[in-house]
Amino acid sequence: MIRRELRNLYLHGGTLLATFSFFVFALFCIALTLGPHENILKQSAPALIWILAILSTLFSTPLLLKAEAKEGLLDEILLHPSSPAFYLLSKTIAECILFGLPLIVVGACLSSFFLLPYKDILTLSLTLLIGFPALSSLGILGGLLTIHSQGGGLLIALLILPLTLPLLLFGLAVMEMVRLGLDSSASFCLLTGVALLLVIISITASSWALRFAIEG
Amino acid sequence: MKYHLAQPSFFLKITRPLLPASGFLMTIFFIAGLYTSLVTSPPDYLQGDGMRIMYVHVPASWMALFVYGFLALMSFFSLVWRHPLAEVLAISAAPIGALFTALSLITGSLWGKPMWGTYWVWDARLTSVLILLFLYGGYWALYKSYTRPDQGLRAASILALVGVINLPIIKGSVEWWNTLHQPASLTKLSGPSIHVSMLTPLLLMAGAYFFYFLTVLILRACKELKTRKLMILESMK
Amino acid sequence: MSLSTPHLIYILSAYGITFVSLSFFLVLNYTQWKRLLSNET
Repeated sequence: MIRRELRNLYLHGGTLLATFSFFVFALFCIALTLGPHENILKQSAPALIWILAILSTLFSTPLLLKAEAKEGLLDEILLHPSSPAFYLLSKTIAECILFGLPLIVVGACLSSFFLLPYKDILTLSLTLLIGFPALSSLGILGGLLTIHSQGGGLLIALLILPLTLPLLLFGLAVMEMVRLGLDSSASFCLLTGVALLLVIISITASSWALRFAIEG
Repeated sequence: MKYHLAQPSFFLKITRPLLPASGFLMTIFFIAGLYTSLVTSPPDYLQGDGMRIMYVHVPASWMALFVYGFLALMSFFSLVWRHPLAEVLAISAAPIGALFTALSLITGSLWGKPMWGTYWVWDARLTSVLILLFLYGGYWALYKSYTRPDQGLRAASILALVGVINLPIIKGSVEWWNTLHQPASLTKLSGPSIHVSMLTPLLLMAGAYFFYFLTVLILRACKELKTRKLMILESMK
Repeated sequence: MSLSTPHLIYILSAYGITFVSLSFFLVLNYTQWKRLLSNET
């Protein structure tokens, strides 16, 4: 099932590429406009990279879902004997592999724009890696909720952004702890817990939403 | 079809006497609450008369949370049992809750300016109320973005349920974030012991807000039910 | 409460905004409900 999803995602490579270029270009613009002040750049880098990662996931995932719905792939899922939750989970995993990992690598490479030290880049990538499954499943939820509506990507951002706030804050708390040289294990555990919880909640809600989305 | 209309008609019947009663109670409570909060209650020894804002602010925050809970409960009913009355109550309640949330934010910052010296602090409580407002906004925007109201309602109900689970997590995360940044957090009500002379206006105003919610809810729900009935009649022609 | 209290402007505006917006919303809903009621009969 995961392999099937990977193939699907690969076929929609154009959307992924567009999202990547959005991510890269936005980071570039921000780094340029903030100017060459080392302190500002260093302090704002984790927050900016996190927010851009959230935005690009929330914009691209629903687009992919809409494309799949148009091809009738979603109706197939309900005919399938296994629960739709498995399908959604495999979709999340596939997206993490094909979209999340490259995003994190690109983000890590571009952190040199922000003059981040090596250790910070590592922590940032790690927090993004933990948070990404939750982001992707929330993006799926947003896409399914708005699949028949007329609102565009902005609506999804309005719906889902408040829900991603815990991830963002815990991820940045880990970064802050590492930067100050404190023990970051507590916030690390919290980040992981919240990410898992969000994955469970949004997958459950999405499987409801999927049924409604198809029944119309 | 008969079953579909039976229960809403019962609702319409019981609310006919309930509406004037709740409107009457709302007026009484508002008058009593205003009198006690502005005239008879003593000024706070720390904050002076400024703390009278509490009597309009705190009940608004209570109602903001209460209405969201009500909304989530009704969304649950409408998703699981497809109960038409629950659907109507949910969409009727949402704008009232959003109004209370906005009022709570506005009066809160009007209280904060003379007391703390600023309109806005990134305090955990303030931030979570703001997020509550966003959740209400998202609910309404999602509901309105569908051309078919029944589809929009289902999507919005799922969102409301996800939101109600997430609200404590969001609050916790903001609190955690704040302890990292500003150790001295601001507490609004000093201690659990409020004197009776301050508690009375607070409770009176809370009662007034509650009956306000009830009155407007009935008005909106009746309106919504009747428009639905008209739409069904139109479609049968 | 005396009228010479400090922060009077904040107190009055908090109460004012609350009551103006609450009554505006109430009147709005009441008129819509009334109109629908008169349409039906």
